[in-house]
Order: sequence, then structure tokens, then C-alpha cells
Amino acid sequence: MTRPHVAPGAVFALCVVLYLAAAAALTWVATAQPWLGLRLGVVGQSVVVTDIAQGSAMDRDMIGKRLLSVSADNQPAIPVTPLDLIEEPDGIGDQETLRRFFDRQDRLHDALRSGAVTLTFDQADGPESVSVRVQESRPVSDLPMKFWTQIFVAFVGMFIGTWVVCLRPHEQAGWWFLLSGIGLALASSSAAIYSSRELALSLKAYSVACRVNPGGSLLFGIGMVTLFLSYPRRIVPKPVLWLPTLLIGACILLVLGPGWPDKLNNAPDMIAIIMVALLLVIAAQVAANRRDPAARAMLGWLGVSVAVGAGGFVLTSILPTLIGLAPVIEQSTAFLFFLIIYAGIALAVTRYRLFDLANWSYGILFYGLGVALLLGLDAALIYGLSLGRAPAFGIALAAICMVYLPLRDKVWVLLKRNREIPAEELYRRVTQIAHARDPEDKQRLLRKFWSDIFNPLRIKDQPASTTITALQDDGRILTLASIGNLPALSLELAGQGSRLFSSRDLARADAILSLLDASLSQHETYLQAVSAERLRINRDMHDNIGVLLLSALHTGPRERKDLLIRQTLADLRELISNPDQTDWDLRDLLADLRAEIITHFEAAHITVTWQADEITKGRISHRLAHALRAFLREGTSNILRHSGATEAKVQIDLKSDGVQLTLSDNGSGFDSSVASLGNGFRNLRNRFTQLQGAFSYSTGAKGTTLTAFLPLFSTQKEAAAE
Amino acid sequence: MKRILIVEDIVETLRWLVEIVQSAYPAATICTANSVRTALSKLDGQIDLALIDLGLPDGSGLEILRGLNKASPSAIKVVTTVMGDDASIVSSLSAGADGYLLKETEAAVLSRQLTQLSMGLPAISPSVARRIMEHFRLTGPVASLDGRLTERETEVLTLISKGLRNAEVASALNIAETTVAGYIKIVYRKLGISSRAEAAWHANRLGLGLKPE
Repeated sequence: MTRPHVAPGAVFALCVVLYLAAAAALTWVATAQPWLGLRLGVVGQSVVVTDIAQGSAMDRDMIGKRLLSVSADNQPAIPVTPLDLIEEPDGIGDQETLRRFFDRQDRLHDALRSGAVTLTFDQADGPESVSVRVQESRPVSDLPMKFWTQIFVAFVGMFIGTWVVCLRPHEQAGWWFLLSGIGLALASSSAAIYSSRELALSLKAYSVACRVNPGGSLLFGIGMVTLFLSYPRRIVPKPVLWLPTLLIGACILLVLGPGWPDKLNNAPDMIAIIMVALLLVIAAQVAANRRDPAARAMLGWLGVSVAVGAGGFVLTSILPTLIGLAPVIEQSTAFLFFLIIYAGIALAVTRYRLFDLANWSYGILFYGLGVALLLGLDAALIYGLSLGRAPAFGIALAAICMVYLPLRDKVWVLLKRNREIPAEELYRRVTQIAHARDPEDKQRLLRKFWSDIFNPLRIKDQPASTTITALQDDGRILTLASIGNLPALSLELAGQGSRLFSSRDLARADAILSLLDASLSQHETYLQAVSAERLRINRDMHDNIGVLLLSALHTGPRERKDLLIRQTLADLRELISNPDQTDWDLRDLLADLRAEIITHFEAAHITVTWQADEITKGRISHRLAHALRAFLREGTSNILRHSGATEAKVQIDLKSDGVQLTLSDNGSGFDSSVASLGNGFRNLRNRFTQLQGAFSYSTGAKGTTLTAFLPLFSTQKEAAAE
Repeated sequence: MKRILIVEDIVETLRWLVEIVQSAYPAATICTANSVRTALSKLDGQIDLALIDLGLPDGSGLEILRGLNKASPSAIKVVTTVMGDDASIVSSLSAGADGYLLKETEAAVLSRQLTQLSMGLPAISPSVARRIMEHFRLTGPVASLDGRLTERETEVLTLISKGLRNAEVASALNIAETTVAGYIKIVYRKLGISSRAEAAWHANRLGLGLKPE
């Protein structure tokens, strides 16, 4: 029933439509019967009019009167007995009585069909005859509740059975389960026809319904018994699996065969025996699976619900008849017991993956329900219009536009859940996935994303080696390649199982994947840049800030400590001001230093000459920039504090391979044995030597000159120095 | 200077600043605050000079700057900062600051700068000058001429960005040093205008429109 190139959801929806059509056809059959408009009941040993049906032209005086007989014009009267109102004919034990029952029903039906009958009532002053007209058909609204409950039970049986088979077409157990559902549907729907009759049906109708009913019940038995012989574990040799089919099949032939309806009254016995067998088989399954907790738990649900459902039906409806008692509850109500079976199955699927179905399989179930709801809405509309209940066509049209169409649209949208994701939303989601830090979050977002796009029945992880995005299994599965660190996924059946993936879906998935890929690699680049930057800042912190603070910490004199701390702060500020610069523009660097140094000299009232070659371009690394700064600051600080100079000169000469720095004053020189001075110069010399440069100083009574050379434009040398 | 407000959250630094200010203006009343909230509560009376730290525990000094713009429009507003990067200095200038001081500067230098500032002689560091020029280059289309730099102003900024002091700029351009200071003040004002223009430009681009102030 499911070929690989059809989506199970579509098959399921089609089946649901068929079942609904069948239900509609049955309803039509039930209404296409002659109708008196009386409610008849049994009081003591006689048939009494208990009520007048709504919409009936009958005189309300009839209520409470005992109906003796019915006769068509110029025809002999047909007596009406309590037996004529019996719900289930196969409860009539005696073959002779049964044949007479069918015969009288047929005659009553013929009389009613004639269009006008005379009803004879038993009155205190003798029989009273009333001539009445018989309607050709029965209004739908007059069908009793029991009709609908039995139709409903039939529908549920087919619905759940089809659901399981649609999703697991290769599992035999599912098919046996469906067979039992078909049996239940046949039994229940045929019973719905005759148990809801007003007074009589034709023999033709009985000969169909009273064959289908026991046949269905026995079919249900075949399905259930075989199911439990093979599920969860096969407990008999394979050929034996066909034994119930053979045995019960023979029973079916016997009951429905040429001798019908003589063997009809054997059906309840057979059903009772099958139920006992079913209980035994379930018990055998429990015994066979006692060491398998999962199977045992599954059996707990399924077995108990079947035992209670089918057993309850037999106990309340069939057994009392067998031993000659009135049924405990009406058989039509007893059919509701079967719903227990299906409730048990639904629970077993959620809890124990019965038939290997997981929770996702409910998607398709709800989809089918939605289809049913939609058709129900349409049917209600057509029915409402055909009865002319709408006061005028105009009002009806308005109601359709304002209430019905929007409602139908809502249901349809809910059913499809296949919303188009707008481009900006798509982009936002893709970025969100690419930027998610927590891998689990990422996974969750990714799954949610695909689920929103295609609304698949199921999403599964694929091995990471999956590198191709492709349609598989004729479109049942869309495999998504793994990109970056995102896992490969497979999506099963689009639109909650209602459709297969198309090549258009494939193209869309490809486009989205490349978008994701681009976003992921962008984010990766960004992360790398961030970490490179962090590394650079760390190195700066260590090489400059750390070194400066350490020397400040270990320096004695307060002035020098202050100087070192100020340098640290200045360096820190530069680091913050230029966070994205990996090197310095030499011109800007010298401009900044010029302003800073001159401000200091000005504050100390020292005349300063700044003589520098015009620098057009050139960039220098952080290390070189720091060396340059250290030279000028250290030198300036010495002049300000120790030289007693009145004039100072800064000279910056650009050479072909570097820059020559000279700082001189007209002070009185200094004693290099002063520890703090010596340390400062030693540090400078170390720094410049490390950078392949040079540092030297000369001091005397006429002033001090510091000179240094930095190799600026040889990046190779610089690299070697690092 | 009659009433001076100093906003600073580090106790030692506050004491240090108070000493400097006291020696510069012995007659002035000094009130202090260590947070945005306390500073805002002291804006009632007339304030002649305010030293405002940018990074405060409960917010940014820019808030105080804006409050002061309304409460005492004639006050000289100086932003003091330690880590003050160029970007935050430019944003405080465009929010109406008359100048800025770096707290790491030596007391003598700082005191000198403060005196000059309160005399209406602001100075800019080369890197801030460069950033201001960059700002004007990048600003969206400015409707009024008010929001653009004139040739002369650009000249002044260019020289400053090369490391020249105000006096040097003055002699290079053959103008008085106070004229240079005047240009700097105009540039500060235009920075505010262009910032608003830029904000309006962005707002329009985003379809937000500009709220009337």
C-alpha cells in the first residue's frame, strides 16, 4: 500500500478521506430508510411509544400507547413484538425465531415503504387504529447517539491501524493490527446500521449487515490472535501463524456460508472462544517475554488494553446473551470498550515505541486528524446549506465569507505548518547558529531551524563523513552534508510526513547550507582575528607594561618610580587608543613625542630645539616604538632632574636603514656611578642591542649627549630580533 | 573662580587634584563628588570650573558634562582622565568639554595646563588633533557651514597633529597664540555641532527622524 515514491502522510490522508467517505455512505444508508417519527421502547412484554421524534408530524397523544401491529393499505396486520426491537439479532439463540424475526422485519419494512400505514394501539376500550403517513427518509438529526458511537469506533479502528501501517509498511505486526482494525470497523459499522433502526430493515439489508458484523468480529479475532502470536516476539513456528486465519476463516465461511442465517447464533460462542484464546496468547507472550523488560512493559500496555477492551465487550455484551440474560449494557455502547485498545496503543507508542514508532510519528496522526477536521467542516457546511437552515442565501454567503472561510483557512495553515521563512529571518537564524558558542545550543538551533524550514517528520544525526546533500529513497529522506563543525543531518518526509522532498527542496537546502557555510567561516575568521589581537595585547602587556611596572617596583628613588609609572600609564593609554594597530606610523609617533617632550621642557623653563628630518612615511613595530619612546623620555627626565641645563636639543636623522637619535644638553654632566642613572642607561642599552641597534652616551662639564640608532626598515632584522 | 567642582572616585587622586586646584585658586570654594549621582546633586548653584573624571562607578562623566551644560552654561568644563583614549576625549569635547587633562601628568605641568585652560587657552595633543580631523573627514553630509572646518582651522589642526605647540603654531602661521586658542575652541564647538549632525544623519538613514531638543 505504500510504494516508496509516495509519502506515507499522503497515503494516510487519502485513507482518512476514504474512511470519512465510507462513514458518510453509511450515514446515507441509515437515513434512506422509511421513517415514522416515533420513538419505540419495550415496557414489560409490549412495545410502547416512548416519544415523538423531533420534526415528526405524529400526534403527541400516541406517547405511552402500546403498539400492537402495523399494516399497509389492504394488507393483513403485522404484529409488533418486543423481539422486533432487539438490538443484535445474533443474540436470538433459536434458528426458527431468527428466521421469523427476519421475515417479520422484512414485511414490516415493506409495509413502511408503501408510504402509508395503519398503526393499531392497545387501548382500555379495545384496539384503536390510526392511519399515518410514512416519510421516505429519516433526517440525519434523528439518528441516535449509538449510531454515531459505533461509526466513531469503526473510524478510530481504521485510523489507528492505517497510521501504524503507513509508517511501518514492512512490519508484519502492523498489518495484523490493521486487519483487526478492519474487522472492528466492519463489525461496528454494520451493527451501527441495524442497531439504530427505528423499527424495521429489509431482509436484504439484514443479509448484508448480519453477515458483515460477525465476519468483522471474527476478522478482528484473526488479526489480534495472530498479532499476539508474533509480537513482540514470535512464540510459535512460522506456519502456525496462519493457523488462526485458517480456523477462524473456516468459522467465517460456516457462519456466512449458504446456510445463513442458521449458524448466525453460533457467532457469539465463536467470539467468546476466540477471546479466551486471545487472552491465552497474551499470557503466553508475557511468559515468553518475562526476561525482556521493554517487551514486557509494552505487553503490559497493549495486552491489558486488549484484554480489557475486547474482554469487556464480551463480558458485558456477548456473555450475558450466551447464558440467556439481557446484556448488561447495550452492545452499541459496549463497542466503546474497543477505544480502550486504541488508547492503550497510543500510550504504548509514546512510552515504549510500540511497533517501533517514536513520538515523532504523532505528527502524521495529527495531520490525518486535521484532514478529517477539515472535511468535517466542509461536510457541515454542505449539510447546513442543503437543509436550508440558513434563512436566506445572502446571509449564508456572508456567513461563509466571514466565519467559515477564515476558519477553514486557519485549520489549513495549522495543518500545513509550512511557513515561508522571510530572507531577513533566514539570515538572522543562520547567523545565530554560526555564532552560537555552546555546541549543544548550536545543535539545538540547527535542528529547530531545519524543522521550521521543512517541518520534517523526523530529524536524525548522520555520520560526520556525510559530505553530500542529496535526496534519498525517492525523496523520503533529504540528507544534509556536514559543514564546519556542524553535524550532518537527515530529514525524513517534509510537512509532518505529508509530502516527499523535491528537487526544489534540495536546491533550497543547498543554498541555505552554503549560506551557513559562509557565515560559519566568517565567524571563524572573526574568532581568529580576535584571538590574534588578544595575543598581541597580551604580549604588549607583558613586554612593556609588565616590564615597566616591575622596574618601578624595584626602583628606590621616588622620582624615578613616578617616572616609570607615568611611562606605564602612557604606554597603557597608547595600547587602549590604538587597539587595532599592530604597528605605528613613525611620523605620528614622533609628533606625539615632540609635543610631550617639549611640554616637559617648557614647564621646566628649558629652551629646546627639535630638529628632525621630514618623515613622509614608514611604519615601525611596537617594540621599536617603545624603544624610541624610552630613549627620549629617559633622556629628557635626566636632563630635567640632574643636568641643570638651560638648553636642550633633540635631533632625529633619517638614515637609509634606520633612524639616528641624538639628545644633548648644555648642563654640567652627571656621575654615571649614581645607581639609578646607571640602571636606566643599562636598560636602554639592553633594549637597543636586542633590537640590533646601538646606544651610547658621553658626559662632561659642558653637557651630556645621548645617541642611539634604531634599524627601522629592515623587517628581517627585526624579525630575527624577536 | 569662586566655586569649583571636582568629580573623582579614587580618594588619593581626588586629594591630589584638590591640592593642585587649591594652590592655583586659593580663594575658591571647592566641592567634590565621587559619583555621577552625587555630582548631579551638586549642580544647583553657579559653578565656574569643573574637573570631571570620565570613568565613574555609576556611569560616565559625560552625563555630568551634559547636566552642567544646562545648569551652568558659562562654567569651564575640563575632563580629567587617566586611561582616556582619544575616542573618549573626542566624545567629551563634542559633548561640550572645554578641554581635557591627563591625570598622570606631573603636578607642575598639570597645574600650568589647568591655569591656561581656565584662561580660555585650550591645548590639544597631536593624536587627538589627528582624530578630530579624521572625525570631520568621516562625518556624514553636514547641512550647515557651521559644522565644517575652515581652511584655517584645518591648518591649525594639521600643525598640532605634527607635534607643534600652540606657540609654535602661532609663529608658524604668523598669528597670536590666543588666536590659535580661539581656533581650537571653535573646533571644539564644531565637534559638538558635527556630532549632532552625524547623529541626525544616522537617524535619518535608519528612518528614525531626529527628536527636537
